[in-house]
Amino acid sequence: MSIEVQHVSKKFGNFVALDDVSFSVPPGELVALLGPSGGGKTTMLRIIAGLEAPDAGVVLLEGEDATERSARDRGVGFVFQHYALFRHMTVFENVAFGLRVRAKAVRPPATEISRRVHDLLNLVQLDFLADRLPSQLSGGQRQRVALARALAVEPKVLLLDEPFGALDANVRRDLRRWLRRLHDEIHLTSVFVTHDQEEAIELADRVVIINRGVVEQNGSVDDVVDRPANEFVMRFFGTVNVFHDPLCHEQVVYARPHDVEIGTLPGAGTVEARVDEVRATGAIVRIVALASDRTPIHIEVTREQYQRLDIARGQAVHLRPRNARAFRDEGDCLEP
Amino acid sequence: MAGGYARARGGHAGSRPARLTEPPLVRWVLTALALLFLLVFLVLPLVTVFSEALVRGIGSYFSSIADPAALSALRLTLLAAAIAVPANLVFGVCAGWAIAKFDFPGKQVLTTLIDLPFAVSPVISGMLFVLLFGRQGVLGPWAAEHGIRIVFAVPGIVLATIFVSFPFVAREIIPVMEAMGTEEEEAARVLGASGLQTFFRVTLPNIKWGLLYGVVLCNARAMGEFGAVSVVSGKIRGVTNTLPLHVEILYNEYNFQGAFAVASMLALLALVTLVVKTVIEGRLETDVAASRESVAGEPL
Amino acid sequence: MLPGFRVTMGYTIFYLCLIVIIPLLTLPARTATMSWDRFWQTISDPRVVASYRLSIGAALAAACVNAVFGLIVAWVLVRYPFPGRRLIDALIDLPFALPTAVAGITLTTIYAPNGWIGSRLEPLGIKVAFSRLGVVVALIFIGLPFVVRTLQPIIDDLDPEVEEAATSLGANRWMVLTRVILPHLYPAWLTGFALCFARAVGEYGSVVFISGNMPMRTEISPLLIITKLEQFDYAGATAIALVMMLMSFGLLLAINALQGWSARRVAG
Repeated sequence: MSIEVQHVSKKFGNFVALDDVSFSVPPGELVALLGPSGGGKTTMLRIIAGLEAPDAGVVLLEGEDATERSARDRGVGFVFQHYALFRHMTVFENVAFGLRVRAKAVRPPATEISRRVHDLLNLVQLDFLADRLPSQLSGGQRQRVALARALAVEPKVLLLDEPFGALDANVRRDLRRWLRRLHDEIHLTSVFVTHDQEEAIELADRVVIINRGVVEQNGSVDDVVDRPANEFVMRFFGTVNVFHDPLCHEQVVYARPHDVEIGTLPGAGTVEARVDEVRATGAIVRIVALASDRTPIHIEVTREQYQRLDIARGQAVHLRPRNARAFRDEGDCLEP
Repeated sequence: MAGGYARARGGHAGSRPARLTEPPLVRWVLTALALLFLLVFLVLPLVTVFSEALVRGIGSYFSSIADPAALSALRLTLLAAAIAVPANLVFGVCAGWAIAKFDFPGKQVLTTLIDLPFAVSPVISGMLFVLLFGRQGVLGPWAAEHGIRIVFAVPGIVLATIFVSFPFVAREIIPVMEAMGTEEEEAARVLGASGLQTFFRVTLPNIKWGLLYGVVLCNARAMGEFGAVSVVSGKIRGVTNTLPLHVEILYNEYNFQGAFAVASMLALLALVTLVVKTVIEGRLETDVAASRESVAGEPL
Repeated sequence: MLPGFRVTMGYTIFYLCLIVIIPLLTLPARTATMSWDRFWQTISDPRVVASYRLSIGAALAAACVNAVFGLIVAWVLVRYPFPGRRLIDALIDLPFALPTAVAGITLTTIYAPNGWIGSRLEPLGIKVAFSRLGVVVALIFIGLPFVVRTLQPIIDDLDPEVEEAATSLGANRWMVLTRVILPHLYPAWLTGFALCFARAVGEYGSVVFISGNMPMRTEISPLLIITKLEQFDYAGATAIALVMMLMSFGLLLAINALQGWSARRVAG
């Protein structure tokens, strides 16, 4: 099922959570809503699920306007950040819940429910814990039960709210890979919220970057990493150096540490700076140089390059950005 | 808003190191003072109820209890409680759901209103219903016209009982429901459960101890109320007497042994209430603590 | 978004209006029909004023006694383990669970001249039953749980590290108690005191037996209200009730403010 969000806005009191957000999720894709905490991503997810109502805009599910539909009738599966497992029910009962509450007419017989639940628990490799209570499970296990529970009702869309946020780094890594494999198997349209850019890069087909209620960029993983749309997106994925065009000070360009050429001799378009710190750890050497206005510039070179350069602390160097990006045309700088 | 009066705490079972506690002499004196105070003000009255009831022997005790007037008073007490407690239970659950699971302006006002009967003296509580339905009351003439007797009759007693025991269930349920958050219900909703299914399958198991606690307190108050019912009832022996009122009547007739015999039934009820209360308190604290652990913060 | 808001909110408001608001509104409605002179006459009648003084004065005295002993009891229950502590602890709520009429006749029997305690005090010239002292005794019983129960959780939550810090800085036990621990307990202590006071002011059932109900001396305000109602002087009863209600509401507001202050102190 495809999802389309059109011009959605939402305020909580005076706080603007979402401001005219639009994006679409093609069927079968795994999309990440990425951005800093408090930026509105979870609110957006909840609006898609029907757990919040937007102040303006529509949500289309499979081309139909679902904005007025209750959360019950949207055919979505939702995995909560803190799992929201029914703490007084066993793992089995949790997963069976969605099937048991169906109206008599559409409810499968108990044997069928049991079969489906066990199939799902096997899918998430937790069948041996079917009779345990959530309090007896680890965080990673609880998360998988939450996932199985959401999948039990055969949703057309899977929504996950910071699914791995509350877990240890190791567990997180393992579950990430596992979720990706699962998605490759069942190809369920999925949207997940995260503030971790590594997670987004590793898991998602496309990324929608939301910051302060606004979509900063919407594209494939390659798009957002290599072709960022603005300064915010670029900064989100790594360190960014700001250079002013020496000829036209208004013009600002951005370059990554590994895209800064460093040399001991001045040249065309170079900026002078003084070496402040050198950290030679592993294959990459990190150099921090201070420009004439004391702003630090981060440079990364290979070990080889560093040895060829032979520079020391306090030494003057000349830097030139390569592959620099300009995002705004600031002012008019005309050559005389 | 305070959820019921503060819970009893078990305290620390282990003893504290000497530097963190008072010298033994002080401890002994304080303990003795405390126990003496409690002996005089708690234990003595409790023992006296039963000793006075049995002062003329067991036979006399049982005949006082089996007295028709006493039995009819018992029936009326049970009837009033049987109506007041479920009614206030339904109210408590509704108020709990509305207040704990939703955000709306004026929540504080609502919870204060729910606490109001606590601030009203029992006699005034009864008086309100007399003002409303009594002979010169607002709806008095209307009631008389339709042959409905409220004041000095059973309906008045029931209404007064509902009023004084009104806040108990709500006050216990609301904090428990607030502590459990809304995520489990939201999860149930997305999984396709209806409102009632969500309440009975997800919410209720989580609040059952708080609910029970509130019901027990509500019941104790409903059965034991004296002042409010005193005003509304007219004290017609055998008809509009509850157990506490009957105690008063017997006492004023100098039938002390009879009065204490009936009082002992109420005292037994009080003791049962205390036992059930203590048992539930333990479960309740565990529940609320577990809730707080598994609940997320507000999403944004 | 969860379902059921309209239904539950609707029923809540409906029930609230029916059971609480409408009955409560009859009070000011009735008072409004009285002329100011009549109103003033009623509430300033010497007998009525005497009853206010008794109801409030005795409640205050009882609250003070409960404040002192409640603190001791709460401290002992939390800090000093002794056999049977759990039993005693459960018993603290007895005044809450016991019907007031039962408490009333029992206390009267104990403190009457021929009662267990009354007979021992009589030779000393101390009369408890049928005197103002008796009223205070009954109110002490009624308010006993309040101070104890509000203090217990606070004492239980006291951080031993704070006491250790004070001790390591040279404070002796008395100083630790009075300068470190006690100030921490003030808000809860005050709240317990106020709750106890509020409860005692309007109390009827447990007092009306032991007081003797002598006009101008041991007559409590609630009894006066009943007397007026029995005489069908609804207006008079309403007037006295209104004054009592205003006092109660004032107390309720003070208590809520105290609890808010107390919560902020603990959180900070």
